[in-house]
Amino acid sequence: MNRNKKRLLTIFDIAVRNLELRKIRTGFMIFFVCVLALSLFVISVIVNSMEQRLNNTIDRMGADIIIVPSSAAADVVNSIFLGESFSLYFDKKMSASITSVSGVAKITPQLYIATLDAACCSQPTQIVAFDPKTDFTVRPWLDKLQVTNLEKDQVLIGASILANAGDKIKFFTHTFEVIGVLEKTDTGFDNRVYMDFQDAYELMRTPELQNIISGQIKNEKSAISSLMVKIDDNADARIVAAYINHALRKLPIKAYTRNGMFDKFSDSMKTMVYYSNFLIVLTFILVVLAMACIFTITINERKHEFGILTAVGATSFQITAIILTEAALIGITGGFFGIVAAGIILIIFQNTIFLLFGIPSITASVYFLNVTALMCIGVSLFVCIFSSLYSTLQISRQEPLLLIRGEE
Amino acid sequence: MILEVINISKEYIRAKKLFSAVSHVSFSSAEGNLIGITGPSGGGKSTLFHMISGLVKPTSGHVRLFDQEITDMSNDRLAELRRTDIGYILQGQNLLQNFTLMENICMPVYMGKRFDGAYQKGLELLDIFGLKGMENEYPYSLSGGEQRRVSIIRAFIHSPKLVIADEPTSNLDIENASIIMRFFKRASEQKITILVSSHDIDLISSIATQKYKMINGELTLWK
Repeated sequence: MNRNKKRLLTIFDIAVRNLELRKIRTGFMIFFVCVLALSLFVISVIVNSMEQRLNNTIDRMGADIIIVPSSAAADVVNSIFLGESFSLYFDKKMSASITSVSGVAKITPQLYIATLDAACCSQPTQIVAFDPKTDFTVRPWLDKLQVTNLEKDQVLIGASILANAGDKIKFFTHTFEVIGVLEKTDTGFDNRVYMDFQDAYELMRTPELQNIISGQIKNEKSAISSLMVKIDDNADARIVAAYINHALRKLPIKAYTRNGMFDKFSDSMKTMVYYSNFLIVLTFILVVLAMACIFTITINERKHEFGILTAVGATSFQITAIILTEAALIGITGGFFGIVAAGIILIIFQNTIFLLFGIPSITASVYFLNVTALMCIGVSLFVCIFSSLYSTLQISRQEPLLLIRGEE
Repeated sequence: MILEVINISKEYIRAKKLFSAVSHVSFSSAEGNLIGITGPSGGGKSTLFHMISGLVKPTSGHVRLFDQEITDMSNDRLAELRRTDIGYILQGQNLLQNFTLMENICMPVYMGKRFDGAYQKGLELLDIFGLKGMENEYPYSLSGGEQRRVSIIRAFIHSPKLVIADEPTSNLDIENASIIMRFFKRASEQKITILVSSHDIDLISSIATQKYKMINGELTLWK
């Protein structure tokens, strides 16, 4: 190896040389730290993506309360959260009693149609019809795209639908013009196609849909799938939802608050976070124990080496600094490789991970990824320093002669 | 006086019994003396040297080096002394295997963070000890005698006032032993005080200006 022969060797150089000498030991220690950093990084990114997705979904709903058939709540959640499409209807006359409920500011209906197979899409698409006159959920998106209104046979599509503005797409027997593509949200909203109620009613007349609808509703012109409710500024969504449910008590539809609707997802996410934390703590303890064992065993073997350094004038501070620098180098290297490995795993196994955790993509921001990477390296560094403390203390308190003799 | 050893003793517990490794030893030396101590193994020579270099605290008595009492000095202050004013040659093989010969030689300098001229001096000493051109070799490629010579060079690299050499010629052939002793003689002529121990009475007697025998922890003047 080419060494700079005339340079003053520093504590850092000595530590690096010591690590190089014991390649297998160093390799194992880096591996342990790598596993810790990898687990920490992967879990943090997945949990963050799930949290972000839940928050995005809740924020994107645009309504404070949603009223759906009691039996369809889970379908609505899956449609919004996972992008699964469904069709379920109730008569809009059922909503008559809601407008007078205290705290209700605005109400707008939506109609959901699940396409069976569409030329534009590789997967079933959720068509959502909205009423431009009363709508307050889709309107902000239209404004963002500078679209004043949806005309007949015009649709607005989510970012996951494979079409561009100006393209024609076909649902059943009807062809529509795409007038805008919505910003990617990494939620089920990306898999939706928005159209006017009139277009949706025409679609519903197609024989394929008639078969599905006929069992649920007599007149398709009075069919709706949900009612989106905006509450007064000072109103409490839970209280308003309770009032609405009281008004709807004899009907098969139910009001859910925006947050309440996703309670189940929220709870399962909390459970996942709990188990993830448990796994991280367990990995942390195992890595600390393994590292502490390796440090203790090898430091005992290296007493003679430290004895020689003591004999030639190294202070206990310098000996301590050498051991801690070795630990820090292992921590930083292990942490770095752990993050690189985590990145590779997240890329290679992304489909499996997305399927397993119900996330469409890694939605973590670059800032979050950087902070998490730094945090993982910090934890790796801490683990190594912490694991080496006992050995360091042992050596620094040892009589110089015992070090020279290599005695415990 | 460079070195004053005043009535020092060292006792250990060995096999549950008090064992006196060094017993009431006193001697002193002026600058440039070559003090030779001979005697059988287990006689207490190494313990005496460890106490003089500050690696072990005496049970009783005092050691004064360069007009400073070292008995009560902190380990860090003693370490500083070892990398500035004392060169210590440990018994046996004492090179760090993952560092080149020059790096081993310069280790006291690295610890003191003062590199001035050390590299050049190391090259000159390697030449004197017949190891020219081997500065970038690693210790494992050297014979026992060569490694011992490197240990000696290391003890001289930082221009110490006192060099303590514990059995520097043990297990060495006559040629290697002679090279080392001649070097010690020359160093003492350059006002470096040398304290050396050896089993070999002839070797010691040929160079030492002050000669002692150490048996059962007791030091006696040997003329």
